[in-house]
Amino acid sequence: MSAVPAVDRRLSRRETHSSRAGSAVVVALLLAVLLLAVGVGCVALLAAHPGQTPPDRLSLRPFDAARPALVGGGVAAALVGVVLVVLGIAPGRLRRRRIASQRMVALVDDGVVADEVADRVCSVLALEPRQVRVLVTHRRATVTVTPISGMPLDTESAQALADETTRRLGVPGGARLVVSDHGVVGR
Amino acid sequence: MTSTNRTLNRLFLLLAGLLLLAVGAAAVLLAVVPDGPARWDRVRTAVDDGMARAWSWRGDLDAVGLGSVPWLLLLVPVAVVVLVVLLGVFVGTQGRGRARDVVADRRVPEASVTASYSVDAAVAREVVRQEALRGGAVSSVRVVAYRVGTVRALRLVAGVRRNAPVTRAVDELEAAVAAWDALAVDRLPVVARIVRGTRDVRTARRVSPAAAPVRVETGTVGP
Repeated sequence: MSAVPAVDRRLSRRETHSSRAGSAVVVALLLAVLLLAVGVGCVALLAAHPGQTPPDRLSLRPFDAARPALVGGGVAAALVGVVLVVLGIAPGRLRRRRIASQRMVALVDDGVVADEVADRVCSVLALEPRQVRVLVTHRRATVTVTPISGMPLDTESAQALADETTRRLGVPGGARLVVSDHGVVGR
Repeated sequence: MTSTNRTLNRLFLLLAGLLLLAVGAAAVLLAVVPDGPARWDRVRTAVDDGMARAWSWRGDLDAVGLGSVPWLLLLVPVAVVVLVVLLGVFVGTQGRGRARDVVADRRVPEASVTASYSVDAAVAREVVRQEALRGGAVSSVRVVAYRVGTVRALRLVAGVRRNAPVTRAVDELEAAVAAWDALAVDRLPVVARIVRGTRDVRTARRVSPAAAPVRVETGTVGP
């Protein structure tokens, strides 16, 4: 840990949660393009119609003609709006987690956690890497083992090892070992 | 880790989302409510009146050779330029906060004359890199200095060798940071992210059940 726990908390928070910079930049650029189009369109229209009355084509279409556009455009706008609201509110947790360290804020990617669990389970069960799949979610990990047909598996040891490894690497719910119904034939 | 204003980003997305949601819901409601046509006619009339008013609201710009010009012709482009510049500033603030120094303009109290010094981030980078790569569990490391509030912080992104335990990589990174601490005046906050590194050749080996004992200790590489 550093001398300032508040800085550590801030670093940890910033590294484990999305800044939403990508989404914000995309929305800002789209908005800028839209604004520029409106601005240029206005100038072009006004320059082309210097008279006292606006051109007819600026009037909105009658209800029956406008209805499909109102429904389609409205639904599309509302859906995009929901996505943006969710992006604004959701925590945006990144796929990495904090692990114990004396000096630093140490964070490990979920992929690294999965690799380590898979390696250890492979070793304890004497399996090939392709026979062990590990899925790490925020709360827990699921280890799926495909056995060799006819060969018994020491699932208790593998379960204990997977559980210990995931908890040590910051997965609060530990690991769940699933043995696939269908085995592989030989190697 | 950057100085990106996360609250502002979220507020911007939230406001844009709420605006789109409100406009979209209003458009759909207008299309489906029983008195939709009447309401739509009121909207059309309001738009037509607004346009007519905007067109007739004119300024005399003879002095600059433009004659009678609708104010709208001037106001809309100005408003658009101002908003686009603000959006550009907003986009430009994203992803900043890297620091060139880990110590900046520090006064030397013992000096008889006014003296100050800075320490380039490259010094910290080289020290941490060399020490971190010494152990064997860390296959690569990237070191960048950032400004966090008023202090400097180091961010390491370290690749861990496949089959090397994460805890060993953390120990090696801590040792590397300790080597920097021993040289530096300040104890900088450090954040280290451990990512997948290069694959160890042993990953590809075949394990024979007949030859292997029930429990094999793995995950250790050298020494």
